[in-house]
Amino acid sequence: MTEESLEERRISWMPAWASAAKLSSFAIADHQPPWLCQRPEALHWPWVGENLRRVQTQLREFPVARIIAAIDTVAQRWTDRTFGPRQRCRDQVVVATGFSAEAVERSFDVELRNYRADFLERTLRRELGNPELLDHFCPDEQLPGSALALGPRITLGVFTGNVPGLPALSLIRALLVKSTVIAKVASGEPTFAARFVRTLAEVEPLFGEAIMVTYWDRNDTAALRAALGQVDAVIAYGSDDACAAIRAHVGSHQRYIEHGHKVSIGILARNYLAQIGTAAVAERIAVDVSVFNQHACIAPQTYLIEGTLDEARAFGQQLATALDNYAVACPLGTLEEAEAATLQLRRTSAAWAAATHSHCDLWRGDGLDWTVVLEATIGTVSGSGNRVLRIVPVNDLADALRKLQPIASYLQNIGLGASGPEFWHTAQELARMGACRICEPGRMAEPSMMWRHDGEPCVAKLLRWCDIEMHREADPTAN
Amino acid sequence: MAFKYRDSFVARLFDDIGAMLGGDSGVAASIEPRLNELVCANSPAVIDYWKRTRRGLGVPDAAFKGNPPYLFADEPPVRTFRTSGTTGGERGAAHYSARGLELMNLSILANARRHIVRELHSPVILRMVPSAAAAPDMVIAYGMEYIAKAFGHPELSTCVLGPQGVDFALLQQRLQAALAANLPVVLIGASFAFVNICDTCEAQGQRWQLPPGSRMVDAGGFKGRSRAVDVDTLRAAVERVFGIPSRQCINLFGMTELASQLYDGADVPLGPLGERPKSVLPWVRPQVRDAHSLELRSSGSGLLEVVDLCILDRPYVVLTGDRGIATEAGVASAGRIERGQSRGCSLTLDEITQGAAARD
Repeated sequence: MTEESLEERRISWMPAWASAAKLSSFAIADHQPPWLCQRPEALHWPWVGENLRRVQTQLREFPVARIIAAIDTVAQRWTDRTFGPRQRCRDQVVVATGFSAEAVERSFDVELRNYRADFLERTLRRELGNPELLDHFCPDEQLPGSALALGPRITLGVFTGNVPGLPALSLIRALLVKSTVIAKVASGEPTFAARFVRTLAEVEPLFGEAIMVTYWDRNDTAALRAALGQVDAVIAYGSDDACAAIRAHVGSHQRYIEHGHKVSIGILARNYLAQIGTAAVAERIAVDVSVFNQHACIAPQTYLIEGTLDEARAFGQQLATALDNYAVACPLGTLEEAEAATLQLRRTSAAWAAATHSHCDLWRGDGLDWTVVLEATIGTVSGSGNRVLRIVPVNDLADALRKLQPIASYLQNIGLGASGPEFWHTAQELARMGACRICEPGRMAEPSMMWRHDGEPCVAKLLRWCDIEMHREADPTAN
Repeated sequence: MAFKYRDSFVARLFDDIGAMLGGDSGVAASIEPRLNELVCANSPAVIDYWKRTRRGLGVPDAAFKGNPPYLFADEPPVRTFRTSGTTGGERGAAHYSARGLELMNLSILANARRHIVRELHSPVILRMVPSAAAAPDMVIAYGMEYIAKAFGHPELSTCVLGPQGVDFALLQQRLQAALAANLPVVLIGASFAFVNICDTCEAQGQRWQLPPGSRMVDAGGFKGRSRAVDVDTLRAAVERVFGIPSRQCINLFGMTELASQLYDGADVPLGPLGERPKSVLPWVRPQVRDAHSLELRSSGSGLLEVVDLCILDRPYVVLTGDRGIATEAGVASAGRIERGQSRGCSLTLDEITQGAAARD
């Protein structure tokens, strides 16, 4: 293997202070050729902690404006499709995930534009009021007095591989609060994080010292506990089981933010379809379903459509056309055999249902690029992403809400095609059921940085606060 | 125009399938085209299904839930077997006419004679599956009992699985009796049952050296079980506990949706757990379809499909929902294909709805 190809296989990022003598090198054999990784030896995690805490004393002196400016520069580069590191990373993500190159490009486009300065500043203003609270004590009229927001010294990020580019979100949330990071990547897509951190380090060298990207197997609780022993906060992505396994080892003194299993859905009111036009709505839904190849929890698995069976069937045909058009410009990619087999079983089940029940139907691409299934209920067919959309006719939006009730606790992102009082009433009911984001159909795949992800202020939740009150230095009226 | 159950076409087809099972090779080649003609004439749903998928593709196991396919509207089924429901909640069903049931019986016996009993005369057949009376709609209970009645020692053969689980006292008593009479024993049961029985016997220090010719037949694999054991580990445990050598162990692949079973045809590990390739017989054969194109493939892995020429009442090609591996040595079943794959924070609706159902 040449030095260049070795570099392409490397998925870890080690700060300059991380002496090779204290690291073990290994290969993740899930892939051929295998990904190459470095990780601290079991005994040396305290040394990692010491160094990251040392770096954090420097990072905390950076004004937040400087951090935002540096991230903005990185985001500017990574949102440019001609940026060399992004192009090389895209190729690695294609190898890791099987996504088509264009599907990865569109994932990066959607994900990385969130990290421009304007969005970062608005996020901090939304969650903190005044971003400078991260730099020094600021007056607080309500106390009255002053307040200072302090981020964790070290944050552990445990990532999944389902959405290309997603690790950037947690890295940036941590950097915004001046935290260093231990990032544990997923074997499903381990390549992005280290490449993104390389650019962060090029723009702001201290960022490169403040982040370690590595890997351990999800069942390696010894490595997890060793890393956890050094951190003040944890951001965990994964299945309910995976998150529970992490949560079991988190101490009461540690901040914990979890992004567990969620499901997203769309709803279309008859009036909305008439107002926008069914073909236009179908094109928008094709985007919702196709971005990230529907692997993200924000992608809809089902759209509930107010109308008769015949109207839903006609709309299914329009969705089929829209998804086919989308796939011409942006194919799904290459599925591994297991995924293809799952998809084929789903299609054969849907085909049999369509052949034997008048309320069922199936549309599919010639290859495996997309599938639309007409069903009477929201949960009779397995789903596993890869641009498979179920459509279900409903009598009215109250009927849609009733059908969603069994999955209320998992609801996340809702593409709500409705208007006027009907929109506001339905939105309120969905929020009460558990939804935490409501957007226009066609915008489901692009939640903003400002969105309270899973209903939580994810930056603010990393913080602890120090308030000065009842002191003449901070409140002249005291005493 | 649909064929009626009592049409001569169906009667001749029934007779010829029976003749094929009796060893008449002259009729075998004409049976599959006639079964295909029957399915096309009597099941517009299959034609529609093929238009939506691919001509000749096996019907999915999901087809047997709800309103399962049955080709003879003019002849009510005489018997129905049901699936366990381990892979999707709702139980599937396979309906049998009298002729269909008779063909299944003939297939069970022909297969057992060839793969289980072979040279033995009146072995002690001990079944570690429920009795047919205890589980009247469970096809494995029916089939094993049918084999035991046809070939087993009339006094000593029995079912050792009761409502409280394995009756170890009865098992010991029958094994001792077989040893005393020097009669070979055939142990038949679900794969996971053998694991549990071997675990228990080893923990209690119980071992037997069963008479020469004794053998073990395991069925079902480890679908839905929390613990999967590879083929050679299971056979080593059976050898330690019962003194049955590995070469006398054979795995059976059966489904409620099929009338015939597939038995190991060669002692070559193929699957991830060492699964062996299944025999190709004139009346039943496994085949593998490419997961991307659904084309049949002679080597490599994909979707396991079974062509069962003993099915008269339903579509005779079934897509099993299992992964198959095809090699020159044959086709092995290699575990279930996942129905939905959660990824990261994204959960499938089925997992939620099944979880909700489980909590109800």
